[in-house]
Amino acid sequence: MQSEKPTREDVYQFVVRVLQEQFELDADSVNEDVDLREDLDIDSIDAVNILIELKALTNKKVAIENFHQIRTVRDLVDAVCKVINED
Amino acid sequence: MKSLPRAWRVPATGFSFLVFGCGALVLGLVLGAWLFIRRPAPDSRVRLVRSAIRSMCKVYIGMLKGMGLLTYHYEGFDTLQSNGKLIVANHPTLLDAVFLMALIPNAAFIVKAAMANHPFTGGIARLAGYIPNNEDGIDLLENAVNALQRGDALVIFPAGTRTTGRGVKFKRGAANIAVASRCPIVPLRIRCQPATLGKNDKWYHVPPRKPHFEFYVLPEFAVQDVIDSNRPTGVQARHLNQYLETCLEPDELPGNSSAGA
Repeated sequence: MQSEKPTREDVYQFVVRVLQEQFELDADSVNEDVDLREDLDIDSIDAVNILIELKALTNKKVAIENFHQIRTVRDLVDAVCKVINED
Repeated sequence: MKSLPRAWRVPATGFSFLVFGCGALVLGLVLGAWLFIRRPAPDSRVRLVRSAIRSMCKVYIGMLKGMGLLTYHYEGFDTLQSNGKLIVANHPTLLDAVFLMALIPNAAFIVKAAMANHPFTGGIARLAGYIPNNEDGIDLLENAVNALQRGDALVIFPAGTRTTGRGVKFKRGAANIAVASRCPIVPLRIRCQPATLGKNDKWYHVPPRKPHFEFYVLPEFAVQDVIDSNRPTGVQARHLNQYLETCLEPDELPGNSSAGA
């Protein structure tokens, strides 16, 4: 099956849905600029869960080096897009 | 309760700190040397170190009591004899861990990275297989789950640092460990009246009267007893964390006669 690569908007929507479903976050509280740790209380164990969920979107293991450098939702979406577009 | 004057308790407290630091260092060195020579199997090595720590902590607490620096009371520790349980305690004073080391057999502790790397306490902490709480929670989670599966009693202070009063926020490490391992959870409430050896207290700030420490082991429960265990793990960890925060609120202590009034 030929599947198109997800767009940046797809990735963003997916991340928002993961945050809502996995951590009971309110959709209104999420935008590109919110800080994952400070504003959304995402810790390093949550981050691993996010990466596991992202496999469903990217169809490959999302290993993000230097995860602690990712601060905002935008950083995360950018990092995931980079992984998708690598090959 | 008669209390010795502060003029005695200040130098006695200073002396106790000295004894503790030197004791931890010497115990680490002596045990380290002995283990190096005898080379027991890793399993029995850890058990041996823990029981040595336990004996030393008992002696140390006996000394503090003997010098008139504190009194204590504890309840329910007989239920902690069978292991593989996660023991979650509040953390009002510097002595909490010392008491729990004396009271709980074969206990592994999750210790601050600062303590695990400290020249006086680091050696003995490593020998005892204590788990350092480093910044990356994943290692912590793995090590903790392994310890529980090996049958250790794993003790964690989820407040992360010494705290008193109500509304203390816990870090989710303890809840994440419980959700990942599905081990039984035992809440343990600690109270110390009057407050002493808190985060911002200097060692010579001894309280106006001799402090009384109380330790209560509360009934154990399973994760699924208190939260919906069909939700995603992130949600479970959050719900369980809230439950633990409520469960260990200081006012809920048995026999608490409106302390502080």
